[in-house]
Amino acid sequence: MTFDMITHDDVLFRAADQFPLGQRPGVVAASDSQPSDPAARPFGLRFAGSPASAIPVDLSALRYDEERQISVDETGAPAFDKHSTGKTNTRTSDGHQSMDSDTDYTED
Amino acid sequence: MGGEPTVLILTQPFDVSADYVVAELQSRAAPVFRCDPGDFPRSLVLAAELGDTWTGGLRLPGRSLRLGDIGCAWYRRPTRFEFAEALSPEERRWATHEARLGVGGVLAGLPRWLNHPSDIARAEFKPVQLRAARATGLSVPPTLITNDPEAARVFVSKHDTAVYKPLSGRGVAENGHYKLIFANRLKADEVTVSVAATAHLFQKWVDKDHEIRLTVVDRTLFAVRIDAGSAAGRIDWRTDYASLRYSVVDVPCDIHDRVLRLLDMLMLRFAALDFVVTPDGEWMFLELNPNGQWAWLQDATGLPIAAAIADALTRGAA
Repeated sequence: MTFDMITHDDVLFRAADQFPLGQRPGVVAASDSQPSDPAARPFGLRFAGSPASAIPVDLSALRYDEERQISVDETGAPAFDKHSTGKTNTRTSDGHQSMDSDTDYTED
Repeated sequence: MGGEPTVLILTQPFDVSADYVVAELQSRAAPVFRCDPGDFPRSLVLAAELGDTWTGGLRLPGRSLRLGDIGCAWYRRPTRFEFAEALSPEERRWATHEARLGVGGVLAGLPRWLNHPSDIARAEFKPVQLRAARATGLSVPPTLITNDPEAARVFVSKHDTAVYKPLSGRGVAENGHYKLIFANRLKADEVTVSVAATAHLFQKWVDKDHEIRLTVVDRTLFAVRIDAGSAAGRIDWRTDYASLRYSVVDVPCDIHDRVLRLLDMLMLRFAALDFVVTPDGEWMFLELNPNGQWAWLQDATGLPIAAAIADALTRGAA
């Protein structure tokens, strides 16, 4: 199977697709875009819903440890140690996007 | 170049799955350099000079990495470049493109990846992966992609019940909220003219006994059976993680071989695949995520997926 690459911004296959980058948590939730008229809105968008989190972690209680290169809580314990305890909840610092969603948030 | 090769991890700072692997690598004393393109150009610095190959390196405050010391790069969940607020939207757009071709271009030339970003991008095209899956002999539900409402109605009617699925994992941000688009069952009379607004994917609804999330790391397969305890979870388990039960299962030999062939076709060393297992025991391929999540399955089952990824990142080139 071959897959030809075309490197322009406004065509089907863009340079952006060769180095896809997502958005950090909280960025996308800031949009104030409004849904269009139901007659114009794409059919698939009627099935939009709030994302669930596979691994519930409260981002607001975490910081990135530059030395250890992992996220830790206020006591310095690794964030991943808390996953199976059920002590954390599904909210992130912005209240919306999980940090461990199964979905990539890639660019347009 | 001296000493053990360094593992380069490209991901956002708050990425728990990457944390598991960083900890695993550090427990093995394997050098790790983790950074996010989202930190370029503000705190992540690139200086690369062309000799016989690209030399130079990446630099963060307090940490640096020579390109020649990189053994394998892991493309996890890197985020987009962020520029000074003072830039105009047009200046930012131009700067983004330059950064992508500069930073992305230098990094894309690294010899060893898990997975190469271009391979991830290609495999994200669901029509590509469905066609490849069919070519390997995997069972795939009858599928239609269309913006023709009448074609959609005919297809759904022919199969009695179908599922609408988005072609990507991308959601929409509206009214300050981010929403994902989930799979949904539907009948022909529910299809509307708004199918004409863009491409839509419909698949025949397949009766399921349970689902499988199959994580593949360098030809090692980790299969987890997923039983959903709610009606919504049975249609799309991503909607209701709390209702799910997990158990480790074996992969039938024929599925094992076809999955490895599929990953070879897509040039992937890692992927997370979703299957439905019918009441008759048939495995039907639904989709593949070349960068899917797996850490919650390790938590739930004890499968050593992080260790397998660490193995893959430190293994010498084949």
